[in-house]
Amino acid sequence: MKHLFLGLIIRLALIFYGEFHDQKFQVPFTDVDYKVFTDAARNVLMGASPYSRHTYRYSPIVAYVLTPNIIVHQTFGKVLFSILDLVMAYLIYKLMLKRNISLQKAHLSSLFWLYNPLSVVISTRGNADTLSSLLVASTLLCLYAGKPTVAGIVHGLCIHMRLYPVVFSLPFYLSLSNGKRFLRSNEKRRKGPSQSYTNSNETLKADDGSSFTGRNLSYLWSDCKAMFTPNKCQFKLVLGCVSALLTVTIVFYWLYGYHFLYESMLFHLTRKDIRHNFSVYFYLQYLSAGAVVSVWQRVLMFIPQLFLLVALSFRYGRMFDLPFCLLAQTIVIVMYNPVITSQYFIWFLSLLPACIPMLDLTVKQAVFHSIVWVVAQVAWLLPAYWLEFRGEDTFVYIWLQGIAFFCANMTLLARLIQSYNPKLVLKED
Amino acid sequence: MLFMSRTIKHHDLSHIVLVFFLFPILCNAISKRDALQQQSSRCGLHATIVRQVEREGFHRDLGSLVELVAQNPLEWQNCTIALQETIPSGLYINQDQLMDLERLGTLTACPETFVDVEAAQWQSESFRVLVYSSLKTAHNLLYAHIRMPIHLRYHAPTDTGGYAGVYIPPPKLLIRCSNEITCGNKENYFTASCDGCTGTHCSWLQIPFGTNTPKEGLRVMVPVGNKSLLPIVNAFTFLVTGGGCLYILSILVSTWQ
Repeated sequence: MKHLFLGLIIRLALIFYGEFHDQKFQVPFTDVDYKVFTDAARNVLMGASPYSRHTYRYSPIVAYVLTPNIIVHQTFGKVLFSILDLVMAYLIYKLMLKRNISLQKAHLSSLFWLYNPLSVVISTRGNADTLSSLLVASTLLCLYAGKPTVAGIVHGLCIHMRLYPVVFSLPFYLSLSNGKRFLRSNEKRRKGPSQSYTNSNETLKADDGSSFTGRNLSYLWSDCKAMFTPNKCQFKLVLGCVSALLTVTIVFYWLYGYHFLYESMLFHLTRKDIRHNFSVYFYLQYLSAGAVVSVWQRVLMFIPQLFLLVALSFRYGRMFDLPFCLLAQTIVIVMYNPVITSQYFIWFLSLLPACIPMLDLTVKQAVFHSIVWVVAQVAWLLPAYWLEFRGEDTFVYIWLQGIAFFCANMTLLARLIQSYNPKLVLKED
Repeated sequence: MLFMSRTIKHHDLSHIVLVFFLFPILCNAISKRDALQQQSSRCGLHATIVRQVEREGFHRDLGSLVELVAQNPLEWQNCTIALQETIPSGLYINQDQLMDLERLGTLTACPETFVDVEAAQWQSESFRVLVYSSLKTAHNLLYAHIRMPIHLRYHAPTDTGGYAGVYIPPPKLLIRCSNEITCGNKENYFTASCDGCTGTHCSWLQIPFGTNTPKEGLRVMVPVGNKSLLPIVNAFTFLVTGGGCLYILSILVSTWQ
């Protein structure tokens, strides 16, 4: 409670500073998109479409929620995002307890989010990505509480808000599987949230004994069949998700037409920004700009990502491992994305706290990997600065640093996978 | 002033032939210019604009120092000037940024059309923007220092890479005063927004000026990608992304237990 209060004070102070900064300096503290949200909220209030504001590419819900930006005060949204940040810290705490992790570790994980400078700055600058992180965490919590329908609905909303969580659908689905490798005890689940973590606990212990590698192919086939034939919980999850997603999509399509569909969904699918960004594909896209993109180029950009996402889903698509699965998948999505801006990093940073206690890393190693990650980013920023602010032709260097950054992230992902050890937290019990 | 005294000194035959053919066009242009000049002398105003592009990289400032020497400065006390700039397809101005600057009281400007800040050069067209400023007075000199942020668009990659040039043409100089101006010819009056994107329209008088800008405009260089590298970039990028995928898959297999 004390920390939540302090977390809030820090955020409010920063919002206050932001107001002062924006008045005095030409380069504003406030996120560019925050102004876009505010303008869209103004349009909504005037009875117009939020999409009449150029570059508004979010769900209309964001514009609705931020209408007090116009009525009350322009900092309303920032305060709201900061409060959501605190809620996120609380959800992380609950998420840990649900998985039978010690109070102390749960506490530390939520503090990691609460005092993380990145999360503080991102919410106070008015970035709405906290909202989707919150929905992802809520989906997890609903799954742990044994409410697949609600989890499905929240997940559907989450996909509506931001497209990337759509890839989490497979691990969510698999985690409810009856198959031997996955959560087998759904039928045993009794009412009440308190049972859910014991469930996952049992499963984990049961899994430890069985090895997947030794099985023959027919066994594998029957396993797969069992995994994909929906059971009651999976059916509820899919139903909840599809109905929620369809409902909001139909309602907003009815309200705002194709403009909504294009800006909030299709744009993100077909986005191809040729301007320099962290993506490993930046220079490739810029050099082939204007020309017809060949099919093999598209396939090559898509296939590695698909393989990894599916492999991670099967490897970690288990109730207890879900947060780690989502973390690993998000790193893959971000790193293989044709466009990467620094706000995407919050997608996986929000999932990191829930996984920290399960990582078999010493403080020294953790610090080392964090430094490598930051250095790789700074090393990219250097040629990008020379290009953007000095007008020097540094395209090749930016591309090479993009590749280095990609490699750094892949190595980091590999270390995370190697050091991920759920037994670490279960030993204490 | 320096510009005004500059004259063409080297005539040769080809020039003369060229002038002969272009005579009717030139006559027309010269007569228009003359009309402007006559009017400016009738108005008792002599204008110069010193222009330069400040800062480096993709985000720059277009600086214009406008100086009006007035025979009767008292007549021009309550006047506003506007520069009608033509922004070429290689550049853009950010309307949101302009709104911020207006709020801070640094600059008032209004583009005539909607500006897509995300488009590349080959997807864009040139457009006009009106930049407003009040005038400061020092004896018989009225002056304004205008600095407008401009941004470079990404240009298409070329076979050799390097840099491409973007040219900013000279602006039109307009003036309006709270008291009525009567000195100009009718054809030199324009109707345009009074002050920023307010929607109200006023009558502006166009006045001629001397400038340090060459005819083709101020040049700004922008780095462009090297197309000849595409095969290498393609191969190496996909090698790395494919390799990364295989590496992670191998790690997943090795930690299966």
